Order: sequence, then C-alpha cells, then structure tokens
Amino acid sequence: MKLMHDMQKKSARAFAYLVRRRRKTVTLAIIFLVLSFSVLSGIMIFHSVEASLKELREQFYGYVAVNAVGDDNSRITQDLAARAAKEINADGWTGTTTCYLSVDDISLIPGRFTPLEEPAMSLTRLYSCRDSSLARDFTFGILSICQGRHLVSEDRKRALISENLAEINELHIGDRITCVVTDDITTHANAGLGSKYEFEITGIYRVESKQGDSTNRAECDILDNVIYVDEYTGFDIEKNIWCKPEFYTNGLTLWLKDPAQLEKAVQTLKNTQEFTQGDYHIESNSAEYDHSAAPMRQTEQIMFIFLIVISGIGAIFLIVTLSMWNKERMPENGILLSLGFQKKDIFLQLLFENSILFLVGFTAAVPLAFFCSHFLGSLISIGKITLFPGNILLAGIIVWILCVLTTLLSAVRIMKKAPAEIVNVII
Amino acid sequence: MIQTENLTFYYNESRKILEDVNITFEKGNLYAILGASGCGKSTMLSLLGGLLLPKSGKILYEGENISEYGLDRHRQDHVAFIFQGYNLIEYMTVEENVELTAKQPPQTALQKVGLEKELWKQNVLKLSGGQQQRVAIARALASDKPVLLADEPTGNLDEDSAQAILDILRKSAHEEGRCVIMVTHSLALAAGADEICRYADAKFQHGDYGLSLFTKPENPWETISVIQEEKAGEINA
Repeated sequence: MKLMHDMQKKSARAFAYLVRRRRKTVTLAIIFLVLSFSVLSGIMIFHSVEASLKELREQFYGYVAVNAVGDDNSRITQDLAARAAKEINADGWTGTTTCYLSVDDISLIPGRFTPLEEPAMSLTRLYSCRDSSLARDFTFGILSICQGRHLVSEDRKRALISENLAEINELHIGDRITCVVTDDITTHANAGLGSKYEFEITGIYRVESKQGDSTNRAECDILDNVIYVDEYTGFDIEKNIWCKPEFYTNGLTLWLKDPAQLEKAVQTLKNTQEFTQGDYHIESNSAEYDHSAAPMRQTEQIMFIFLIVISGIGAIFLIVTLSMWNKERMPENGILLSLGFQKKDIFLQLLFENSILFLVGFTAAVPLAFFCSHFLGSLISIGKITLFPGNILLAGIIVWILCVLTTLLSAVRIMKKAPAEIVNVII
Repeated sequence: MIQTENLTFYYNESRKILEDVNITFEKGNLYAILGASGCGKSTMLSLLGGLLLPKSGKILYEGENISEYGLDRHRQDHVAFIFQGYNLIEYMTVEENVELTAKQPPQTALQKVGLEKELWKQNVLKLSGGQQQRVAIARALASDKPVLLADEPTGNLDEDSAQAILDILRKSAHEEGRCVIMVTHSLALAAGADEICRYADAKFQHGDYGLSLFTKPENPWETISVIQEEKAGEINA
C-alpha cells in the first residue's frame, strides 16, 4: 500500500515536471521517437531478411549428390536410394537416369545437326525422374512447370516437354509423342535398336534462364529439347538398351531444407556401410542457396551493425542530454535530499519521467514505422516488410533498456555524490 | 532530544571546524546559533540533519546514534530543513511543494504560516520572497518532523517578513513542541530565540573553540552585547 502510494507520488512529480518543462519534454520525446523508429525499422528489416532467408531455404534446398563412379558393383538402386534418404532424414529425393532416343513424330528445336540434315537432328536426351519437381533444374528455377503437372513415381509412360517444343509441334497436355532407340553408340551391343516408346504429355515446362545461340549446339544439348519421362519407363528403356537391372545411372539427389546440415549428411552417408563398400562420389552442393542468400546475409549483417550503431549513438545522445539536464536539476535534488528523500527516490523519479517519454516516443514510432515499412522494403530491395507484434515488443524492450541504462548512467553524478555535497548546492 | 557527544568535523584535518563539541537541544525550544559567515554554523546544521557524517564523536537523537539509525532515515523521520534561499521546487505549485513530505494536509500548514488561499495553486516563483519562505516553513511543518533546522531563514527578507517568520518558528517550538534550531548571523533574530549558541571561530588557531551554550539568558540583549564585545576585542587584537 505504502509502495503504491510512493509510486503514485513519484509519478505525479514526474508528470508535473514533464508538463511544466515542455521544451525538454518535447526534445526528449523526439529523441525517443527517433530512437524507437530506428530500432523498430532495424528489427523489422532484420526480421524480414530472416523470413526471406527462411523462404529461400525452403525454395532452394541444398542437396547431397551421390554418383556411382566405379564398376557395376557400385549401383544406386531404388532401395539404396531410399535407405540413404532415410539415413540422413532427407526432405526429398529423386534418382535420375539418362538415355538418348530419337523423336519419331515431332521436330526438335534446331541445333547444329538440323541444317546438315543428319540423323542426330532427331536425337534428344530423356531424363527419367522419380519426382521431376525434385530434379535440380526445376528446384533451382531453371525450368518451371507452366502447364499440367510434374512426374511422380507412380507414373507410367508419361513425359514433360518444353513450352517451345510444344509450340513448334502444336502439342498439348494429353497428346502423345513417340521416341525410338536409334543410336547404336548409346546402346549395349545394339540392344533394343528400333524399340519405340510412347509417352503421354502430362506437363509442359518453361525454360526460365536465357539460353544462348543454339545453332552451334547439338539438338540433344538444347534445354528445350530435353524430355523428362517417368522413372518406370526410364528403367524399362535402360534395361532394354543396356541389359542391366534398374538403377539410377545419373545418380541420386538427396535434398535437405537446411543447408547447414549438408556436411553432416555427407559424412553420415560416407560412413554408411553400403557406400563404404562401393565406389561412390558423395558431395554436397548449396551453391544456389549461398548465391541467393549472400546479399540477404549482407543486408542482415548491415542491419545488425545499424542496430548496434543507432542504439549506441542514441544512448550516447541520451546520456549527454540527460546528464546536462541532471546537472541543471542538482538544486532540486539537493532540496529533495534535504527533505528526506533518498538518492534512489531521485533516480526513480528520473526513470519515471524518462519512461513516460519513452512510452510517448515509442507509441508515436509504431504507426510511423508501420507506414514506412513499404518504403523501407523497396529501399533495400527486400520486398515486403511487415511490422509484427513480436517486432514491436522486442523494439520496446530494447529501447526501454536503453532508457533505463541511460537514465542510470546520466544519474551517476548524483549517485556518486554524498547527500551533503548535493545539498551544498542549495545552501 | 538531539545532542552531540565529542563531535568533531573537518574537511581538512589541519583545519578543524568542530572539535569535541558536546551540546544538547531540547524539544519545545527555539535555538539560535550565532557566528560569522563561513565559520561552520551551516556545517553544524548539516551534521545535525544527517547530511554529513562526523569525523569522530556522535550525534544522538533521543539517545540513538543517527549514524546507526541511518542518515537517510534520520532525515526522513526526524529533521526538516528551512533554507535562506527558500529552496522550493520551481516547477511545482505552493500546495505541491508542501505536499512533498506532508504527513498532514498541506492546507493546515499553509494556514498556520498565514499564506493566502488564492496563492496555494500558484507556481512558487510567482510569490514574493517572504511568501516563498512561508511556503518553505509550511513544507517543514507539514512534514510533522520533531526537529526543524533553519539556516538563515530570514536572510533574504525585510524586517517585517523576518519578524513574521520568527513568530512562526517560535510558535512551532512552543505550541507544537518542536525543537527548532536556527542558524543566523543576525543578532536581532537571535534575540528572539529561547537559547543562543555562539560559535567562536576567531579562536580557532589556539584550539579554544567550539560551541558554547548560553542558557536562557534573562535578557537576550545582554548576551548579544557580550558577543559583540568579544568580537570587537578579537578585531582589535
């Protein structure tokens, strides 16, 4: 009860001072407003960069690539791939098999063989994927599905073709294309030559990254000519032309959402019995993520430094201002001490005054920061910056701690002096 | 009520301001401490008020050493100051100043010192010197502390105002039973006190110095003349 009464009295004195010393009140409120706005903006940007990085992590996985480099004993089968994925707790995985077949009833985007009218003008690359959405070109945004859907492990005789290929051949989702085994170089002892494979188009992809001049490249090396086919058919072709059991000739890609886990995952796989027995090349790759995240990380660091600097400058400015004003108020402190007040009472009154002004400045800074968030976002090219309640709370805590610290430091002169020294000012 | 035992104080050991001072101040009395400017009268008040710590000796309030009791608590519970410069909080009104340490309604104290009601809500800087000193006294009275320490309370006031202030202090001692200790270099003001204490700093170098208490002189003016003669003698010497 007595404590409440004391607090009431202190806050009443603080209000009286603030109301009747308007110039100082306004000055200090503006300092708190600027400080609060800066800290709020810094935290908002910092938080938005963090959110963007998180989004990026989910968009750009890091991956562990496993490739068999040895003889036939080192094969990545579906079973081995599934076990590897489980071992490192992969967020997704896909195996790829590559083969070269000729298209029978459509024309490819012309490359260097078309003008020569050589048979290779119809030869293209078929990627068979367990899950085409997890193929690296799709994950890294080089390709994107613009019609239809991705290939999944349950698909049979399904294909994805490029938008340009579909356009020049007037193909649509649901249409069929036929590929023929024609190239003896890409087969084992001419096995399967002449075999035909028919695919239904389930999706059409767009090549997002710019391609250079295609006239000097083989048709099969032009991205627009690549045909993604389902895993089941891919294995079937593989068995037919290479006479081998099902395995991923083009290796395995194991995706992890958190690139920080990649190195650990690589070590785990390298220590896994199956991989120690065979000859496998296991490596991680988060280059795409690192490349995209680098400017954001830089912004994040700059914002962190900005926050520290602005808080430091704000604190110094507050300490200097408050110290000057406290010096002016020494007679008042002397009077209070002579009346039986303690130094802690004086400090608490100062803290009340500054806390009230902090509240005023901070309350004004919140809507200001809210209205400026869009401008701030475009200024640093982060995109949308949002002011979350958590940001407000954190900024409030930081600025109030600064308020308490600066009040304390500016009051050191009073706290260090003996009461008589302070009272002597008024005698 | 409040007494010193072998009280010694100095800022510089080679120049002692008080040495082995033994003196007792009782409640219900108005004391005047006389002495030249800068001789250490105010230091004595600061010591009694717990603003300074004695170098040696004790200050007892109702038999309890105030150092052990706590100087902050001593100031909070036992003593109220009245200064020559009024020392009111400038941004507060009359009532707010009195309320600072009031244990009784500030209006009662303001009525006691005869301050007009229409002034109570005004900022203290709008008052005359005499009115401001009344506010300072009202503040001390409202705090309900048993000891009033007044340092040159009429130093800045005209004769009429000074007399009015003296009357208030006397009433406070006699009617409310407070112990009022007033430092002054005004002989006329000291004459209104019940007891006069003289601080003879002139004999400082000879070690014969300290406070001497003149108990209830029959005619205070005689006491004053004694001091004046002594001063004259010191000056001649």
